[in-house]
Amino acid sequence: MTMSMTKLLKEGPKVVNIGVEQFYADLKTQKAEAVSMDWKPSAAGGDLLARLKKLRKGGN
Amino acid sequence: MGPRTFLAGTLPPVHVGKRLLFDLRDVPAIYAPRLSPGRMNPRWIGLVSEWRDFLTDDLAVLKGPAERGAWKELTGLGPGSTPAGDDFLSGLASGMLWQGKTVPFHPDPGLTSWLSGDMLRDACEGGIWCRAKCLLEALASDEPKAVTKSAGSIADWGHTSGRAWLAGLSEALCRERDG
Amino acid sequence: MPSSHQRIEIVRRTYYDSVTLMLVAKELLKDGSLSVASLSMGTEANYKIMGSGGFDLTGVDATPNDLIIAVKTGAPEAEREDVLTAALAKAKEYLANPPGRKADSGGDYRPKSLDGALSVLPDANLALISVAGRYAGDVAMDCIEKGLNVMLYSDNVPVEKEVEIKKAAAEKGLLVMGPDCGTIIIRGVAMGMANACPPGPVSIVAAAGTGLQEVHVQLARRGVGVLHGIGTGGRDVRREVGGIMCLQAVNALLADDEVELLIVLGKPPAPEVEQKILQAVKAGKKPAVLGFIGGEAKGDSGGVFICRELEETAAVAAALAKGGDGARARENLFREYEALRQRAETIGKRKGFLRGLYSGGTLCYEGQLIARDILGPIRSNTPLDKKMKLEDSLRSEQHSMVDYGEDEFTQGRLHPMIDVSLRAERIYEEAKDQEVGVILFDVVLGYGCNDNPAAGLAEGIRKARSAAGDRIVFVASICGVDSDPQNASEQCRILEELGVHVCDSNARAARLAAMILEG
Repeated sequence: MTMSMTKLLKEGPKVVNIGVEQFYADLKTQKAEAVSMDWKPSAAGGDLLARLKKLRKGGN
Repeated sequence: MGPRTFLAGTLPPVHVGKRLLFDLRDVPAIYAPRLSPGRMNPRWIGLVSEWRDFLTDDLAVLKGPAERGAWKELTGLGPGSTPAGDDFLSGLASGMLWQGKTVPFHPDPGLTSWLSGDMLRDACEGGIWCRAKCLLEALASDEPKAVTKSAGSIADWGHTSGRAWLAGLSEALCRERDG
Repeated sequence: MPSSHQRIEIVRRTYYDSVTLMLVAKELLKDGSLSVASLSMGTEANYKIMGSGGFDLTGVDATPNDLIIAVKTGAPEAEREDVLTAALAKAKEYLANPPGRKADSGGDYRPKSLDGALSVLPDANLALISVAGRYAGDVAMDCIEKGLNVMLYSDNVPVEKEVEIKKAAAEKGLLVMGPDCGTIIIRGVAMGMANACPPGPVSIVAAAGTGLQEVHVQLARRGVGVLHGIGTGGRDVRREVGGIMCLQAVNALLADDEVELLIVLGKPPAPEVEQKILQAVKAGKKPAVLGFIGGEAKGDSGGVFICRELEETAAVAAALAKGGDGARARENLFREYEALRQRAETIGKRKGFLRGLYSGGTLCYEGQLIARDILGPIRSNTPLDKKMKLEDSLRSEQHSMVDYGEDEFTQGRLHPMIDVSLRAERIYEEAKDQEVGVILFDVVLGYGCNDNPAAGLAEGIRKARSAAGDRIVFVASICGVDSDPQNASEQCRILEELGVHVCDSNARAARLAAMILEG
């Protein structure tokens, strides 16, 4: 049940930063693995690109 | 095709319209603008797909023609000192040639500025600029740092040129997948 | 009729994060043509703040989804129109191209989609989300669908959304930390606003950001490290959410062989949740300390220590982690607290009111609990007793403590741990009140926080001193360590040079402040 959570606790954080850029900078200072997103809200909210792809593939 | 850009230390005072002749025989060439074929590592498809979304805001005027594949309409269209539509077409051309495919349009330099027309023609003939070459090499690799660095250097290029070029590349690399 | 010194423009239905707004405002002020530049979303609180900052907002009808650009100039009448027009144009240009942005990530491309981000970091296991609350919930759901644990720093996420997210995550065995979770430590890596303390045998589950920070720091000062500090957000342990994540985290840490001692921290949870926590902890067979701040004095329960204050929790846990006597540690601590009376006498007792100005919610809460025992009821924007709610959070009454981290101050604005200017200004305002005897404040350090909060607050303190002379005693606590980017000792030095009495913990600072005004 808690495998994914345990993985996080054992491996350490590998982070997708969505929002304040300073948090990404702080992760890099601590030599953690991270990628920072350039996030903007879209009309549909959330990840519009992914939602559209889902729709195109005809599934949900 | 000879070198298209060189670094000049100083220039004599000139008037607009004056022709200047430069002898570049002894100037060392540091970059060979020839595109070699390659393959995108499928890992990057999610990232490359994003670049189609660059056709918004100041580049929104390109979106309709791009979606319809109306390549001729894009020539000379859009903002920028080299019109963004030409940048898009250059990216598309380079992306297709890289994959060993044919460029889906014939460039018509007469429809745009002389500089932009030259750039477009070069791209269709298999020429590629340095940053773009770095990006294609990175996209063939498994190196995230190389990809984000080279993509960033192009996205920041000019006001609109870089983003438009990436959108064109994205079109070339993604279109087959969508069927 | 003279032309106006100010110009206000509204940009409707737009979104800019607070950092961008701050960068743009800073840039506008650079050329010196403006006396004030303010960009903020049209929330009620921002109206008030802009009003007290000298803007006339009559007729301005912005909503929280609208951006208010307000500029003011001291230029001579003939130039005003042009200066203000140019400023507004520049503001809009900067908003499209925020200055200083490119420098941040060194020009590296930042993915715009989750798929793009995961192509760059396919092994990602955690999403750190700090976008505006109204979007954050959906972003979190997307991340959970991709199998990522989530740290939801954002607040203002509706409770229904929170429950939806946590249920979805629980089904996949994923952790959702938040909403309103500002501090996380995983394997000693600090995320959000958190301190640079060494890892060690203790792990913490906290429903409280600055509570976690204070305990983390107090443990480090006692030579004990923390491996994981998992925040659950303040709402998790209430009945509507039922402590889903708190219990998940507690169970995971109890089962983890790297964790030797567990701390569970927060305001007292709903009774049924508290029961579940106690049960889990007792079954876990590991030493545990429950820090239910401001809870009833129930006493310890079958090997599980129950504390009511933050430093107390850390002191007891530190003793246990070193194989010592937790109860003895607690007694010693309270003896030290009593000795603060001596310090109060030495400083010199004062008459008048206590004004606490906090950036940390849990610290403000703890401060009120402690001060109330000594001085009686305390008013606040986040009072212990509903009847003690301040009518206007910008106007103190009698003994008051204000939490600047509360929603009204943070919607569309930078958090007070990042932007200290509001509190610095308030320090000066309080000093002008003849009836104020003590001003108490916290200085929270660590990643994600202002890079020199003491210097920022010092400005307010200096102005306060010139207004009030020696009438007011300043008391502070620093939640931080020397290895923090700001360096706690250095911050302490800056404050002490201004005559601020710096204490080793929030509990001590609140006690000292109250004792100075006592009886």
